[in-house]
Amino acid sequence: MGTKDNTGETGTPTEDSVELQYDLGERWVRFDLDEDIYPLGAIYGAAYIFIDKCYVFLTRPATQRVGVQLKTKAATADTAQLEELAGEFANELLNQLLRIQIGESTADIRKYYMARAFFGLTGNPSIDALLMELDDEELEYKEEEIALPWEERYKEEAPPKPEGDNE
Amino acid sequence: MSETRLDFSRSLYSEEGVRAATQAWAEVARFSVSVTGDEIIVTVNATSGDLEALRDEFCNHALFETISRRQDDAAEADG
Repeated sequence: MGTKDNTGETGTPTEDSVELQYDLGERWVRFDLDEDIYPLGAIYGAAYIFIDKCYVFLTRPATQRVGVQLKTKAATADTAQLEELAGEFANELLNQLLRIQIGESTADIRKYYMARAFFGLTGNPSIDALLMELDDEELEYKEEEIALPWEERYKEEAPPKPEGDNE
Repeated sequence: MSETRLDFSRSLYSEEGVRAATQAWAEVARFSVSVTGDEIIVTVNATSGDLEALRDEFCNHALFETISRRQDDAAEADG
């Protein structure tokens, strides 16, 4: 079992040291993640990227814990390569976590801009007013927007009959 | 013929994703899938080739299918 920490230049552990505890095998590195810290969406996001470069296998060692095993596709791998793989995965986890958090915090503003783009609104309405307007529009329907047969929708009016036609 | 067993946690892998992976690899090996309360159990029978490599590639594919379906479901939910 090994650990990787962010010690200072002297190698002395600092109070802020963070350790990634992992197990090493012949071609694999394995570590557990806490779902309270790394939600499953972030783990999946990182795993999705890494299945191109290595073999990824997920396990459930305990409740709220996700086991991640990364196995190299190369026939051999040394300790340094495996540690680098684990470190890169940890970095990508942080990236995915940040994306999730940014996505959640900007959801409303994205809806606002999409609504402006689709409906061409002018001025600066509030986001809440805009969303309410969208909700109201969704509840309305117009009779002419209901699907009609082609012939009925585009039928041409019959030309007026010429005068003197006694049919 | 060589055989191996794979256990996938249902909390991490979807049954649909695992079954999709078995279909994708059907020409290379034979798979049998059973589902318990917490696990999806896959038995792999390969007539030839590197069983370990097949096992690893299959697991990657099962994870890929699981994540893809999850993303599709999320996209549908967002509308």
